[in-house]
Amino acid sequence: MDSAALLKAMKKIVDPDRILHNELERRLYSYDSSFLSVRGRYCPDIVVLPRSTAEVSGIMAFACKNGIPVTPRGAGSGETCGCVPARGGIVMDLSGWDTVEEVDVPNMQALVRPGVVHSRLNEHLARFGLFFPPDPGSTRMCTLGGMVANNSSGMRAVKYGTTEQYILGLEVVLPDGEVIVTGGQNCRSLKNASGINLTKIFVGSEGTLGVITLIRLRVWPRPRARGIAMACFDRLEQAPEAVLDVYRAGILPSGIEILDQSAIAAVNLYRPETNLPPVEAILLFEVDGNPASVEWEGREIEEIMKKNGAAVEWSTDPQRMAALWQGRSVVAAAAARLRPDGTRVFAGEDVCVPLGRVAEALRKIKDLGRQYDIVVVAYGHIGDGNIHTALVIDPDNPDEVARLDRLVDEIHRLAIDLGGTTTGEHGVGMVRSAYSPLEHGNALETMRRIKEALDPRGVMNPGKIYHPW
Amino acid sequence: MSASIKLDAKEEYLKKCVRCGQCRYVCPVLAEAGREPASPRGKVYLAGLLQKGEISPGRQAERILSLCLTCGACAAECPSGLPVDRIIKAARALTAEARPYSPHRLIFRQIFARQHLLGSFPAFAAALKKLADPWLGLAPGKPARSRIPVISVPENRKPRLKVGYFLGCATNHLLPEVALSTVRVLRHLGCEVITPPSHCCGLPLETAGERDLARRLLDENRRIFGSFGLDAVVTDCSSCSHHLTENGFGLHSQPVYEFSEFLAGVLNPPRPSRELEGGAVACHDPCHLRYGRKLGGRILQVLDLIPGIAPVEIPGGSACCGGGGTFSLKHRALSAGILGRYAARIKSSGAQRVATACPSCTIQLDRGLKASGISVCHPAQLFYASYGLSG
Repeated sequence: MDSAALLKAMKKIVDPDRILHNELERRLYSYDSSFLSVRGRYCPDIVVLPRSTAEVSGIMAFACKNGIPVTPRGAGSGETCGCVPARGGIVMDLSGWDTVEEVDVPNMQALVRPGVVHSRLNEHLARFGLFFPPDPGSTRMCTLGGMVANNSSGMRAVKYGTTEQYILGLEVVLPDGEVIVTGGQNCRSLKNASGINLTKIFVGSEGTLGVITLIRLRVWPRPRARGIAMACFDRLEQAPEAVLDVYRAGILPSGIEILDQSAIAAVNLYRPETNLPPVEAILLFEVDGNPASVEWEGREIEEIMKKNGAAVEWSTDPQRMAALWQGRSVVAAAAARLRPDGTRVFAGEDVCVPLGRVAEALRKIKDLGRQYDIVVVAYGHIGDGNIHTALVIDPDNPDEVARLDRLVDEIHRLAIDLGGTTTGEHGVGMVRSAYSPLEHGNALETMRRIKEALDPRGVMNPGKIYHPW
Repeated sequence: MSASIKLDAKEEYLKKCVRCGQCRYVCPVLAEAGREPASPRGKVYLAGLLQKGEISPGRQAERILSLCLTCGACAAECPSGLPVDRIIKAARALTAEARPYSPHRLIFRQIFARQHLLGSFPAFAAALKKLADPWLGLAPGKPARSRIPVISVPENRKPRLKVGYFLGCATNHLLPEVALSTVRVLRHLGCEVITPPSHCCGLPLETAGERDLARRLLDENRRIFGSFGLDAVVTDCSSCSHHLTENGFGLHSQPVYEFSEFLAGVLNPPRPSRELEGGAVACHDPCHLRYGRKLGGRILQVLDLIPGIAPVEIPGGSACCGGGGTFSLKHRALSAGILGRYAARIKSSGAQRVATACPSCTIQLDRGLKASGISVCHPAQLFYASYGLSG
């Protein structure tokens, strides 16, 4: 369809002020955080900003009838090209549709539109003494729609799990424009065993099955106390063992994070006042709950760390906690400091391996970095085996980019070999779709059949998950 | 066409943006516009395309780059440490340079290059008044510069410091009472105040991409102030103070201070004696004071000295008012939207007055708060009243 006809058709559905069609505006919808998104040119033909389910439905019905690809987009903070229009067409920017429709306190749930930013939701819920537990590092930018589409999580997944555990129901516009409500159309219960769980099919579907227009999510009472322990280990292998000892003692911290030697060096270069000790690994534990249990669990963790040969500090003082946590909070930004002329690129950054093989994975990834002569900064959620590898290169150097591609491929294959996955929380998109057959075997075919059943014309976010791009 | 975003030789800045989007969280324009071209990240990406010569610096680029208040919130937030506001200004320079004969550009340059002279033309003063009265809601009197002597000395005592007063354009023409209060308070506190016939600081020009002229004015101002042997240069305008310090105006023997910064950090003034009425005052930290100078909270600190003033907190704290100098003229609906959200918060604070230190913020906030009976003033005016000064 030519662009004038497409524009004319969109103007019949949404306010012209919410349609972007000039070349430069469209190009600003060609990227997310992934390195891949700036290596290709994935420009949409038009961008629309719907603000109602009826508008989304109208756009989908039109697109489906005319075979035009549609890519839903939140804040564009993803790392997989998930919201990048691989085949052009329409991009739906939902980030401005950001109303919290209802906080249903007696029923411990909330109804939100897809553009609500995670931290804004939690600021809103805090007024009611509630919170939404999944906590991505991108809390200040990512939207709830994006979180649901990617089944996001973060540091506190150790205790609280991932987004899917909190989604009670969804309003979804299907690729042909039909609107359905999953999880029971008038349901406000916290459990529901009625029928096939369609909600779970849409969570993590990365916008390939429909457009999420309303989210009914479960909220929890806000913990009243919090404490942080920092443990420093001379040898990397001591750290995963110490984590297992904490679990064996019957303690479930809300977060367990690791910084390896390279991450420690990067943090010290970025913020010298942090002054982290130059050890092989630092573990950070966060414990939350009521004040008495937090204090007891913190002291237990302190003892366990000492027994494992670590130097350890425990605190519940807000200022000291912030200081102890500072290394973890700045490491993502600090990674590029290991190479002043380098840039951190998001590629192969989210593998997740079995708990018992974290140390092995970290060692092997470092070896691969040396083999390909690329700076690798490793940190992440050791409590659930989710390792973030920050790769630092000169993106303008074709030789380095070629080496990066080989390194990333090896990191992804390593994760699968170790019995893990290429992505713990960021998703597949275009970046990891080549590994879908290896990860899922013939289950991938079942995924494709679900996709084809819901989207026979293949208009919903094509080029992601199911087929190598 | 290949272009270059020159930023003190650190051109790799553009490579450092990983498009994480954290800047989206703090950008007032994005919050109102709700679309990627309004985001700081979008404009940095655009600057990269201009830098690589992938796009030409035409009207589309100019329009997108204009969607920025240069408040600096994004630069303070950026995990990669990118000076986002400066990148946007540098990219604007590219688009401006691509249109050397634009009439709009030529007029803009002339106004700011010669504003110190324009005030002496009755026709200009009349035109400004005509514009200011119905539209800005102001009724400025004669420009401050014509009412302030070049040299003001404290009465009956030897000056403790010799300071230069940097009189900004907007204060001079639109809020002359602020300038008069500043000079009189400084003089009352023992300063010999020199108000030389200086030029525009250059910020409006740099913001519009007119970097060469902005630099010329900076050099010229440096020469003018440099000839007086001053202990310090003081300005009551946060934006002038930000621009001058960011560009190394006061590197040598005459550091630049914003008014509240100078009071709190250098003069340590005695507590005034006259109790002020209407004491519920909310402090609005202008973005250039808060992010540019990193002096958030300084206004509150000095107002604490004034008897009768009971500071009230704005729920959620200070935010961008949406003024941004010429931004409010170019993007009236966006500017009004940003102001509307913020004004609602200020109203809910119970404040009877708002104290701030930026003429653009003052005019903008006044527009949003006047109907609610909340007045907007400069700390210098409150000190002036509380010290019981006159003349």
